[in-house]
Amino acid sequence: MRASGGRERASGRAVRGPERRAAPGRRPGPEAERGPLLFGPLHEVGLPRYVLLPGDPDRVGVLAGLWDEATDYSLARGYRAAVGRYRGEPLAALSTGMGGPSLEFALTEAAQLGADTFIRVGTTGALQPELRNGDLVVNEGCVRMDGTSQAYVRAEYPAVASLEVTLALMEACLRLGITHHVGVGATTASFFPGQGRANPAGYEAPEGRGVVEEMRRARVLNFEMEGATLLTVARLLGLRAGQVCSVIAHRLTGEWADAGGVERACRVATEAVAVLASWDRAVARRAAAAWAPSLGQEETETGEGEERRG
Amino acid sequence: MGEDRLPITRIPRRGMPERAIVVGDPARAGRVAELLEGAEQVASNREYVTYRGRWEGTELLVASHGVGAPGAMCMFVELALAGVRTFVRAGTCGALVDEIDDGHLVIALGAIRDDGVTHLMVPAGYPAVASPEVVAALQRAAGEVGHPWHRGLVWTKSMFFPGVLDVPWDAYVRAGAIAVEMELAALLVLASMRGLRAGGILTSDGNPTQRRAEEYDPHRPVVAEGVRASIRVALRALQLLAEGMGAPPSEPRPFVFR
Repeated sequence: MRASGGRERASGRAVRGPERRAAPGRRPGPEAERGPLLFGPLHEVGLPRYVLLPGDPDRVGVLAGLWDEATDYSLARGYRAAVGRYRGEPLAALSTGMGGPSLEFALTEAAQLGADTFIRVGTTGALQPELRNGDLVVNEGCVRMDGTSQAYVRAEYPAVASLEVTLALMEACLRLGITHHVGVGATTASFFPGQGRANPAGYEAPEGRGVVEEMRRARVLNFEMEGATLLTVARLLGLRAGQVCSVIAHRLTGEWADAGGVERACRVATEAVAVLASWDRAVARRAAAAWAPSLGQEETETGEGEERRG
Repeated sequence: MGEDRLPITRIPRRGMPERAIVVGDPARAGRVAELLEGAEQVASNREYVTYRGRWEGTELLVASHGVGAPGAMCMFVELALAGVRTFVRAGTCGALVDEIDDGHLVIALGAIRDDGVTHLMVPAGYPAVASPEVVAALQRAAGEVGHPWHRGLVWTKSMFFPGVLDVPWDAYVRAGAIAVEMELAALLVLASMRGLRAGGILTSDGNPTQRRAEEYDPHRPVVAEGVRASIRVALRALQLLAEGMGAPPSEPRPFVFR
């Protein structure tokens, strides 16, 4: 590969490596505010490059339990973090809470603390019949009904995951032999009408009536509540991001069951950090500007997993 | 003949290869066909000209879709109906950043959907995203061909000549758009909607933000050389995908990079 090739960029300035660049959006303007500091204890230690982003603070503990070492941090407003190592690679987990605005704070402050590669480890509702409870979904992009990314850029702009993060998640699924599906998800700013449900208090919003059928027919694989915010904002800020979710609800059958998927998603996301770290080192070693399959040959092992494109 | 062929492109409904290179210009489709073994024209109607043939053993279609996403969508849909599962668009684009010189290649990660057709098909906010394995194959093929290439988002814009309204050039460049063209978002959205695979490789014919309209000249040797390189990249990428860099979506099996 040509060292001059493969730049991924978001601004007039080229920065070496995919999706690592200083974006003009980071430059504080006259009205720029730092925002509230939520992660005080983390400012003592900083964050490593690779950060896993579960929604649920309890999932930080599940992730950290898979690592070789981890230190737990309780943070403001119910956010929780763990900083540790997996196979020698420094990594962290940081809960985002539910919804785009809550994730926006976590992503913004984590980037200020030095992180540049984010993997959301979520739970999701399935919209296609080939998905089963407990399966994993890798979202290469998300429909932007998240309510937060609209404040950043027009609706025509795509919420696209970092190519390397998506490929690393697929590779991790194969290494671990875990059934997964790859495709487009949908991120909603509302759990009830936003995902086509009546509110349990008895209110059925007319706006929510068609969304399940519309998304299903557009071959959207799954509903969740943070992905589009993460993918859009990360790209605008020059960060890398991707998403793996476990199916805990099936919207076509009404079945609610984790079926071990949350633990599998945590294992896949952790393994994906090891994959990414090896690819990032290969890129640096070959003085290449982006990862390509030919660079990964010596690092790649074949697994028994099953990949299904949505 | 009538019922066995699709109405707009006249492509036979059955028996077509499952991989296709799509280009805007019918003449370019003919030049790609000249590179194929056993090439034959299978259909021609309006701007839609379709050839089939083999490139180093890989069966494929080459089809022209004309200029603009609404018309191109007719070709994309009919190719899908004819059984195509993997698409690569090899087109031209305008560069939006200084690093992309005339004749350089652009591999698209996704597209901004100002295409003029998909807004009537899926809700706003549905992403036009290239398939990860197609992007990976294009990157590897571009490295092998050795022509300068770049990777990023492209802006699919249904307007070529400006009117009186402002369009967000600067905002999109700040948001990561590195090139502008007129069809790719339509292909990417259709592929996602149908569980197919698609990507795009584009050749820069100049930077529209740095010239006056009357200076536009895509008919230069440096552009032709880039287009030839982009065709070699597209052919090689389809071959890599056929050889096991990912399976067709109809045949679930492990995705392995080799």
